[in-house]
Amino acid sequence: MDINIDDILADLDRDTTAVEYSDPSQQLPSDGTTALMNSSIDASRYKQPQIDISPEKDFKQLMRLWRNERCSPELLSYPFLLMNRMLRRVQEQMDHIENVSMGFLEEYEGLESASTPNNKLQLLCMEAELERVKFVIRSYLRCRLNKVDKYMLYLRQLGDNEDDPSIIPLNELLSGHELQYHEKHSAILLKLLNNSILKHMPPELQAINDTEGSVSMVDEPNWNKFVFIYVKGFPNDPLLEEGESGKLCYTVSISDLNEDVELSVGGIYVMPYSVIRDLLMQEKIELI
Amino acid sequence: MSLPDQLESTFSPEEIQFIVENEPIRIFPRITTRKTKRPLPTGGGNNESVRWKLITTNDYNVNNMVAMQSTEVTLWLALLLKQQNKCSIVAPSWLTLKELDRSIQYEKTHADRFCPVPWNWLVLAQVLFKRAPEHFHDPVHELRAKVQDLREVRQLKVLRGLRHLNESHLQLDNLSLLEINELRPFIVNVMDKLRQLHVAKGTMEDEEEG
Repeated sequence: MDINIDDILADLDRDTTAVEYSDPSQQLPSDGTTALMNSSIDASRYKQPQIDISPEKDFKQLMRLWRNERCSPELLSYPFLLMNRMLRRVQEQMDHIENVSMGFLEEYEGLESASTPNNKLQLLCMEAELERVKFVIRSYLRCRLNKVDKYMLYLRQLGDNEDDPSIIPLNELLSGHELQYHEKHSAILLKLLNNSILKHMPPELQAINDTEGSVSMVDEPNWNKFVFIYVKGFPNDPLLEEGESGKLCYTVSISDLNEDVELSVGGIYVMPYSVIRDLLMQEKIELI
Repeated sequence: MSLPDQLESTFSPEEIQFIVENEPIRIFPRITTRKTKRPLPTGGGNNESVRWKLITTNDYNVNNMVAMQSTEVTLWLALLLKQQNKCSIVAPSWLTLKELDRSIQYEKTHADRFCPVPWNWLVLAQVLFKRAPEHFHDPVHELRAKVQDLREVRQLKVLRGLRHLNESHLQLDNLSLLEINELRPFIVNVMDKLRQLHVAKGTMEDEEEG
């Protein structure tokens, strides 16, 4: 007689991991909030699923957002909380490195010290890491600014019909600085065009965002651009179904071809962006 | 523009390497960073400033390195330590002659699919061959040859697969990131054009019927 005890074992596993979990997060001095939260949580609240924020998860998230932004045709919404945390950590780390290197100088001039080579190595790694984080953030923001440039008129149009509930308001799509850049930059460009060409045109041809003419002047993102996706999938997701081959998959349909496609978990596909946009927003797939 | 043109819709190979460098890898440290329980006779207070503090990865492993006990760190850190001669890198299990041979066999027997090598195999192999060639058990030149073989077999399959470019979708399981990246501009542009033609044809037929 075989008794399946997998669920009992899984239950035991969960208990031990919960204890181990609090351990490393308390050893991360860089994130004061988690350490504080953990110490203030009493035993009864401990059982509840807590939203744990850790530097490594944040960095993973940032990498994912960076890659999505680079590959997607449209401007994705700005992760305010995540960026706040990342920028704060970069600032703190810069201060920390400064402090350590000051201490290192003192120590060096002072007495013998067995730990100096070690200290140097540590500083080297921390600086290298900081440069890596800064590179990702910089590349991410530059990529977004590029899209703000490209879709200037389209974004203005979005800003004009803010009442429409289906679209994200502009101040959630863009960060404060990006919004500022968008407004100033479009004003400057408009002034240049007006002064050099548009003022010589007949009044009915002076608009720069004319959509009635033979060619629409507002550049919209190419919603049907093909992108490479990786299907990540969550366990126990209600949207997941069993496909023909027995693997779990999402089913999406390409409307203008009347085709249904099964996206099995772990697979790589080339798909039109409009088809998989919802799945991307729910973080069930990644762009690669 | 704020982003160079050639980066607008794809990644540069350096950026692909950057992404791969964030993956964990196993190393044998040659230094000990774990603090002893007993305070050292000379300044035990110094220890606090020697702690590693990292903001992108869990620094638990780095703070608990013991010489010659294997541990896992991110690849960029491993490469940095290797440069300083502070660790040796353990090659991943698929990067051995035996495993590579098996992958090549798989590629040859299954004409319709790619073998499940890790998504970063090409970049990882290249980086490790270049930066840590002395840490492999198998002779590096043979490994290099095998990796090259595998790459060529897969490239052939990709070329054959390009015949099936269409206007709806494509499935490319187990294709690695670098391989995707070199194909991306071509595949995406061709499929975009095919789709445009298809949609235009659809609207023309509608107009004729109406």
